[in-house]
Amino acid sequence: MNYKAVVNVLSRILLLEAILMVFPIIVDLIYKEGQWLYFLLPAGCLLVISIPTILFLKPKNTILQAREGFVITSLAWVLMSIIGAIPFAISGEIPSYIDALFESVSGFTTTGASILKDVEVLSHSMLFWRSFMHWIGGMGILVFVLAFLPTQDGSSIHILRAESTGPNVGKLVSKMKFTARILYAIYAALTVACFIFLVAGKMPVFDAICNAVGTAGTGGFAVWNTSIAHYNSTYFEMVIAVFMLLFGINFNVYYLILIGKFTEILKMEEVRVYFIIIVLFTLLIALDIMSLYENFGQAIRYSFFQVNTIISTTGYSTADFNSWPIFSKILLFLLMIIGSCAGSTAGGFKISRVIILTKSSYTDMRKMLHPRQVIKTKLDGDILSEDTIRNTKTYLVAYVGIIVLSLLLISIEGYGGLETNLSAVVACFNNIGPGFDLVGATGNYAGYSIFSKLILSLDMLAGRLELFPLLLLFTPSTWKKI
Amino acid sequence: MRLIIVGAGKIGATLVDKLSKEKHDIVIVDKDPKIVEQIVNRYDVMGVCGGGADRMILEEAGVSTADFVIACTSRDELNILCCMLAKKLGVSHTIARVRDPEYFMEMEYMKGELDLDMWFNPELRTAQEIAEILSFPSAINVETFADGAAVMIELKVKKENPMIGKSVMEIMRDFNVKALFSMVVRENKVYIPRGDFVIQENDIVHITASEKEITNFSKKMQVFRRRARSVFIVGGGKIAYYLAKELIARKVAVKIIEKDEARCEWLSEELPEATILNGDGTDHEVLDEEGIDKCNAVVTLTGMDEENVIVSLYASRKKVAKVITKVDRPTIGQMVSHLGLDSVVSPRIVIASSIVRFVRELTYEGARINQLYKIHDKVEALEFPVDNDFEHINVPLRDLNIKKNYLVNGIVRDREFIIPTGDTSFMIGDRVLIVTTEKNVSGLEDIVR
Repeated sequence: MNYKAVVNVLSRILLLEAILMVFPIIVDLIYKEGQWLYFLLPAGCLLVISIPTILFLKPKNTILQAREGFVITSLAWVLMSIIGAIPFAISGEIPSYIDALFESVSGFTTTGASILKDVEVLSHSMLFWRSFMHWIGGMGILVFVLAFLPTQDGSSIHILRAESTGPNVGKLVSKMKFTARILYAIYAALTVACFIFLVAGKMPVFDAICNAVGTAGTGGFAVWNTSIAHYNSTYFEMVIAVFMLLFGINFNVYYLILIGKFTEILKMEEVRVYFIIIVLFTLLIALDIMSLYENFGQAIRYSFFQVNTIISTTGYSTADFNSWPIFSKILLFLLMIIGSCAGSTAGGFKISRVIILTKSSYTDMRKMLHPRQVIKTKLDGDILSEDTIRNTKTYLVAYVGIIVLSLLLISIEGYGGLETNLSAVVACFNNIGPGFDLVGATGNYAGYSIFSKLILSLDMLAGRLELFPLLLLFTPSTWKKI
Repeated sequence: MRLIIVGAGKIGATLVDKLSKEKHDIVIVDKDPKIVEQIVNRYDVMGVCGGGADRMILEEAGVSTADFVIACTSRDELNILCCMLAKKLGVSHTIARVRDPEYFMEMEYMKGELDLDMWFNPELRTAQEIAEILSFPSAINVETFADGAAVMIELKVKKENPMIGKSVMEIMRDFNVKALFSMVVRENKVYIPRGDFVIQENDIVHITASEKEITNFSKKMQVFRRRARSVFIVGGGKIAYYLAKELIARKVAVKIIEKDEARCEWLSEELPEATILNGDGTDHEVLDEEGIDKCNAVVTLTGMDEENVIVSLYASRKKVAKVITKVDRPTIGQMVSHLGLDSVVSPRIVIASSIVRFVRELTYEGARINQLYKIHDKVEALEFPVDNDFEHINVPLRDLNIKKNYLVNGIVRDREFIIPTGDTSFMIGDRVLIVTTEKNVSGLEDIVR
């Protein structure tokens, strides 16, 4: 393990977090709520610690192997969350540090699960910091570091791999730096577009900023207790729903649009399946809940928003889907697990993995019928390597394993029923936010004990980093010399 | 520059290593996903998996906007086809590796027809390199500049060398030599010596002078060995063929020992002047029988690095005056340097320098580099022509503000090698040698502040 290089990159990330804390300070100075000190203190401490480390602890060998990539990624996210929670705690707006940590993890991992019963009492700077965390965590802070901070030689592909979502992570262009810049440019442009659409519909600027960054990171922290339902506006709901849908698409699609390779997009099975799922599920749920609303149009309005908020793992709500019929709830539960496309800012199991597993199972079944048949599984017209298929299967096992283990652990204290606890684990692990029953759209996670909150926080981190970086952190051989 | 390198074999991988250090945008194309993966993990480059003559693959690699396609797979035909296709698809420059002697004869003639900007033959270049070393057996390594008017030799200072304990200035004065100390490597550190630099035992010195002066110099340093008159080559591959041809042209007696009978027959048809032996070159009885200890030099060129090293060690023990070892894997090259085998040649390093030069010349507009030679990992020797565009013609060097880390390592004027002093100035038509630790030097303008 190249400890010096790991410490160096981690210090850069902390320095960046200190710089990012300037934004909530600006918000506070605008609203004059006197909370700026609570951001300045941790930011100052970070500067004092990180700058000397970056300047004086220079690694001799700057090559980062897969192992360092995993360790840097998971430690960076843990550290960021621990520090991001400090302003909430020391300002007293979220008195318990564990609650603040849960909120901070939930922010960075773009989950949007909250322990707050009443968000409207928070000051503007804290509300902004909560939502801004979504934006930072959405595309990944390490990708940002790669894009804009001067880095050393050597390949940093392992970091991109560990932080980006999906089974196959590649570069868009040959230089890592430019790949990261392109991704961030697309991300920022879409965020600004979302903001403009919201402001055009006369949403207050502060709300529009928070909702735009929350949508972009597919996070889901809202500035009102009733989330997006507060505005009761079909226009806002449709804008946010469409942008949630857009942020759930693989970002390669936008790059291909930019360079004019439209035929390549049509080849991407995952995106096709994504759209089919959205249309199909919207219609099914709308038919199921029609009796609850005046007409079919209203039913479509609510079902379209809910389908997008869950599939993109955002977690905004416009209706209390907890009171919907069981069929609709099961459909939403399925969406929670599936999630969006690989290479997007969304969480979940990822559609591409579902496709890979389905196809390889089909191949295996055909082989049972024709034992001598030579048959290859293909995705997007290319043959899937055995490695990819095996990794995806391993992922499934780890995924189910973590859900079962977390469900056991948070059930020890005896809070909540099966529906509450199962949906809490699934909603946190897949970075959605609201689940069903006590943790549903109108509920929150405040009722859990400290232990369960920590377990759920770990679930959120594991889900955002796609399990392995965090799991490897707890594997002894990661830390051994040989 | 945007480069596409097709084929990630030994040469391809070395090119990625050297060219990615020069900050180019590189896409590597290879059929084997494992190799592509390895390279992408190690360097900041993009990988594409597929065949080099596949249009879809080349387009995926971005051929239409690329500046270079370098085809270096193991198959000549594929390389040529790949370059032709790439040109059709809009790439600016193409470079192909062509090494079969049968094609090689017609390459210069066909270059235009085939849309190739450059072609290279690692085996041929390596053979030429070995032939140069054989003409100065006292040196570990030899590089010639300005069509042979200047020679740079690499010399290990062994015990009892009269240079030990003397400064560079004293050596020049005491021995009356017209040579220039370009660089000294001491315990893996590089020094560009000034006049007061004192030479120690085990230093590796690089000295530049005219061919005559170098011979003169090595005589005075008591390291002179006569140019090899008979050479024993172990292994009869492509390098051996090219080397034998070159040596025969220089009237050197050549003996080649090769295992494969069919190959021996081909060699004896093509090289009637050489003695071709069919036998195992690693068998010491065969070597003794053929009188390995009686020849001036042994060159080991089998396909196995380990065999080459073992045979070379045996030859050194038999007190053969000059032993040259071919090593493909760079890691082995570093290990054998401790075994006392100092002349080690590696085809991929040899060829990488010339491609880097070609790419650099086209990267910087108007850059003209006659030659680029990587003396050391961090040090390059370059040769530039002086033409009308150079602003400081006829200005004495003492008045030119030359940047740190640059050494004017000699001027060749009318085929005469001149050691520069403060009074010397550059004139049109000169060819200037520069030694530098800086990277990406593209012209003489770069060295003046």
